[in-house]
Amino acid sequence: MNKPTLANLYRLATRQGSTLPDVDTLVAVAHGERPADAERIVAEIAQSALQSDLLHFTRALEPASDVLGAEIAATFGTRRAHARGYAAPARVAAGRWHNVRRVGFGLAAALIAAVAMWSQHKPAPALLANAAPASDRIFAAFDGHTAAKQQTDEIFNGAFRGDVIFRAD
Amino acid sequence: MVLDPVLQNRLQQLLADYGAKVRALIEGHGLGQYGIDPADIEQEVRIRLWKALERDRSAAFHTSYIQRVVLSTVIDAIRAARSRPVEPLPEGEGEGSEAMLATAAGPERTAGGTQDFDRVAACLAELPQRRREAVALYLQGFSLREIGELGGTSEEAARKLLDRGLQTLRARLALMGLGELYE
Repeated sequence: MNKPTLANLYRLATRQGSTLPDVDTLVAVAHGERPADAERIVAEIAQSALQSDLLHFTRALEPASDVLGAEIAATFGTRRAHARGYAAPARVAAGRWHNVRRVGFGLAAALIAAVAMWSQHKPAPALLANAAPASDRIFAAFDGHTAAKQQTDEIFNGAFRGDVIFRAD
Repeated sequence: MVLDPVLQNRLQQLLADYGAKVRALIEGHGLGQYGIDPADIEQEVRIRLWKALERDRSAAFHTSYIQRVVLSTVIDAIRAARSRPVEPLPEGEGEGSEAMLATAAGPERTAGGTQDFDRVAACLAELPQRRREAVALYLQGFSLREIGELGGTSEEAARKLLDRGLQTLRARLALMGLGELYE
């Protein structure tokens, strides 16, 4: 293999004295992004064994970092799920109380609606006043002229006949 | 912020497993050559991620966030290794010590290695910019797909750039008497 000889020489020659890369830039490049000054950055990488090695390393790090991030998220997610499990009874009780209140509010609303409907169908006061003399027989009986004339009291009527027991004849 | 013991154990286990993978990857990619200790990195990554978890439990640990934590740990360690003073050699070792330093410097420090590289660099410099970049990335170990991504082109376009670049480089190296690099 002829390439490694040239590659080894090149890498050995570019190993020393290279500048240290910016962390964010190198991670971005490792993820396939192209920064604004990509040409300068790529030129530096090409001329630096250190930067090249760090880029190789960062890329190789990706799968393990991905797994770690997912496992940490899962660990915290599991814990949150446990917390939800313990909190569930309290939430059920609260839900029951909430249902009771809901039924109460419903009944109250139905009652108010019924009263409102009854109020709408009830005759207005003016109509009531006009209709009363004709329909209300209670107060009609107190009509002095008609009642006295039509239905005289039999007791005090002039045709009253005294007690026959005390009659002389 | 206090985590319940079951959760704490689970997270510590996850971080321990991940730390072991990070360590294996550091060793596998030869990052130890830059003066860092994989075991130290593993420990530091676990500490940083744990602190991040304690700071914000609801934080979504995206892949890129975890990668940034690891990468910043590695880069900090390399920076620290670079600024670390070279340990003084024991007295009285004279020429032997110099020979040891010369060996430790590697072939790129040797006269022959430097000379060869200078000639290779001269050949590379004569290539058109896009071909030169494709060849350089290839020599750094990137695949055709990666070269295409980095260059903002397709894999097929990257292959053409690389083929033409390598062909030209090989011819020029042969003219300079460095054809053995390809043999």
